[in-house]
Amino acid sequence: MIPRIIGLFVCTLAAPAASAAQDVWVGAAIEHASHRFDDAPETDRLDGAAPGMIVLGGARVWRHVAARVEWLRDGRMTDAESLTLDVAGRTVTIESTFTQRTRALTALGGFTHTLSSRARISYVAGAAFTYVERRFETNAPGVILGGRAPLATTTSTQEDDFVTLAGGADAIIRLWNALNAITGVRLQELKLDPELSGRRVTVFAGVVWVF
Amino acid sequence: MGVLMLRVSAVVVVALLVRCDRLVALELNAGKYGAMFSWWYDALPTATIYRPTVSWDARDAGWWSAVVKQAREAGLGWLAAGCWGEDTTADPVTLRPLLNAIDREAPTLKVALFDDTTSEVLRKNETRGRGWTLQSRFDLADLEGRREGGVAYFYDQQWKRFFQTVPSRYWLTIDGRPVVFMWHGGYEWYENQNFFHALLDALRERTQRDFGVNPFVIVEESWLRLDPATAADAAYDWFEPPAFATVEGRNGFRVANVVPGYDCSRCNPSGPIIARQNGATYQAALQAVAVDADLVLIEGLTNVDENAHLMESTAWGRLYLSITKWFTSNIR
Repeated sequence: MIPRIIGLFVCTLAAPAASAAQDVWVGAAIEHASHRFDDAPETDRLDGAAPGMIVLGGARVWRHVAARVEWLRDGRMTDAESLTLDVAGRTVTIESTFTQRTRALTALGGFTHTLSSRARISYVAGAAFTYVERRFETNAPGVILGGRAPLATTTSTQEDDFVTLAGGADAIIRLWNALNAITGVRLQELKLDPELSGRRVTVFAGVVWVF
Repeated sequence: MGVLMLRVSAVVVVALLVRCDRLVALELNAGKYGAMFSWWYDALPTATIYRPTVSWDARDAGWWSAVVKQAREAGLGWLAAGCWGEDTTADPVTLRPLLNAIDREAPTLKVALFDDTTSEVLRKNETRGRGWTLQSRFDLADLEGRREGGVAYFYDQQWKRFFQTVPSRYWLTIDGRPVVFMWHGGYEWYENQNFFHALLDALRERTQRDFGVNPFVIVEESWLRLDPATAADAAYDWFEPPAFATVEGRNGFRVANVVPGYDCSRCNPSGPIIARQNGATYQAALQAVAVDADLVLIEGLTNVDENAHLMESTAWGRLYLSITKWFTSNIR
């Protein structure tokens, strides 16, 4: 929660810069995010990918300075697993899912320049205020403990809030008047308790309205 | 309107009370996963089938370092030292090397006393000149030790020696109280089982007197059936093959017991087998209990006597350490 509050504060500070901007735009995009974690026993089942959405806003300030504020929300990254084993002479199957959901607020700044009369490319870096929920669900209690299980299926939820470096590039292409297409890529670190490290790569495409 | 609000409030409160079996969470000073620990080794027992990669001799400081290091790598929060009492190969006073290894390899690892309650019977009979046998029962009604009982076998020869050897900074605590596990209440080993509550009260009183703490006592559930008056803080259900995972709740605190596998085919006398199934048994056990348990007692880190160990071995490498690490990292 605290990193998100800080993120909102940083974005609020960007407002005065926006007032000096030559271009200001807002838009939305569809994203595809991939998570890849270090190869270690504790990060097994954490790699995944999911689509999501981004609401974004940006500005061009003083000709070559780019600013971005982005809020993203992923769909669920789900790893489903079946485990078949023999229990006292009978074959049983345990089904489990390990799901991640990510939300983030990023504040980025960097360099922008024109590619052509209709296209502009920007290279940005900054901070991502990220929330990740890990959710584990299994039917093992009912299968293994039988009538002694409090519940036949059980769910565990872990939440992480953290701030990491983020960066990337994006291109804005004028389609018609104020309507522009945007496409880009973002990279950031992932840090989950306890000491689980990974990387997030997001590619996105959408539309923005330039004021 | 006021009466309606009052009725609605009452219904909400009752619903909450019915739903919440514990209104205030108990505070653990370590992660909830821990393992049984045994250290009475100068060589691998003849019953060992799956050889650890570590040279197996507890006379070597390197053995203790390797064990504690693997406990840390598995993400374990604590070890339950399986103690057998004074003048045995599992005398609590011989735990000093464990504390030194913790200081070197895993400074946050904690230690709990696991009172193996067969040992009190054996020590009593040996003192009485009958040898190391369970044949003559321990009388729980005889706290003073005038006949076939004596709280001294539990306290002076076991609990006191543990607390004198292990300083408080190493204790596994729940709400600041050091954890003590007690093993089975065997009907065939004890008589006047309905006096167990008196024994436990005496143990608490002595620990409070000498060490200033009231221990958090977790008893094997058999004691509660033998003596329902027992004022234990929590209970666990020691696995019994073919079962390999259990969970027991008492006072809103749930303790799980799991085993990765078990092979006593070479024990004397030989015993049952719980097949490991390439880690599937252990995975299934932890999935069954880890989410809802407040404490998970794994049997065991070093139990090569019954082939129930988690340690790295020539047979399975680091598989069981890795499985443990996944749960200690993701289901907390």
